[in-house]
Amino acid sequence: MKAHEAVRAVLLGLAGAGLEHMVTGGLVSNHYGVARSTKDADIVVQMEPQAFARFIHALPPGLALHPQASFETITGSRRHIVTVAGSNFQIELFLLGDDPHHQERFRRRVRAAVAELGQETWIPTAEDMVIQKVRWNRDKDRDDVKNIIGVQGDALDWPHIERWCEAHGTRTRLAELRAAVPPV
Amino acid sequence: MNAPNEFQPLMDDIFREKVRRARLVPPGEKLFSGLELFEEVEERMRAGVRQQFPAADAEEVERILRQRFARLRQIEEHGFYVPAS
Repeated sequence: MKAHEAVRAVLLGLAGAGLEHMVTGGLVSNHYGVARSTKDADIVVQMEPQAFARFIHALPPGLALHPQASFETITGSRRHIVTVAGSNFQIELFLLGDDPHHQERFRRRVRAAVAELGQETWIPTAEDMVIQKVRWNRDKDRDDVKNIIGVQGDALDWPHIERWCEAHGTRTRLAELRAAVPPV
Repeated sequence: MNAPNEFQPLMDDIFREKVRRARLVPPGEKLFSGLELFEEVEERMRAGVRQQFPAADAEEVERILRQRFARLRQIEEHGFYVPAS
């Protein structure tokens, strides 16, 4: 199964099971910034145990839930992996937790068109992508932040970004990344 | 943060060009672009394995490729995820 077929199947499955969700991670960095390859699709899911069981049960052949779940160490998000037969691509389902920014990011999510889906899906705002990636601060996150700032230009709501970075103790890091973006 | 160096003006020009091109892509075509790029990267990595191990059959090539992706994930996720009990 190809990566786009797998993501399409999972998004349709989540919607079919009635699970509120949003796409995030590298796919959304591409939406707001500069395209790069990503070997996984990150999707945040608002957990409803019965609906989640229905979703897993209805996964098409070729997609399977990996038995080992994990926790992301910065925000404590629980992650489940959906593996894709015949591909090294994987889909990561992050259960929406109590983290205040994650809660607000989910509340503020917006619709985005996806040509390959033939319909829209939910994604975080560009500002919430910047806040999350400044917080994670891996090499690829810093590149994504600079690309999003570069592409979005003056469209970003800086007071929102600065307020959350202040709360996360990442204002200095944000300022350094912002200063590293040349004017376009 | 790296100190500016003699290549900084060139790096800034490349960045500006990337940004200008990205702004031209219709929004509906951007979200899944990373998936298409992944397929290309996976195919190039597969070709790299074939070149490095010319005697390997298709099954062995896929095994080595899986191993390489697992290693990449291990490096990327080191200290970032812990197993849930």
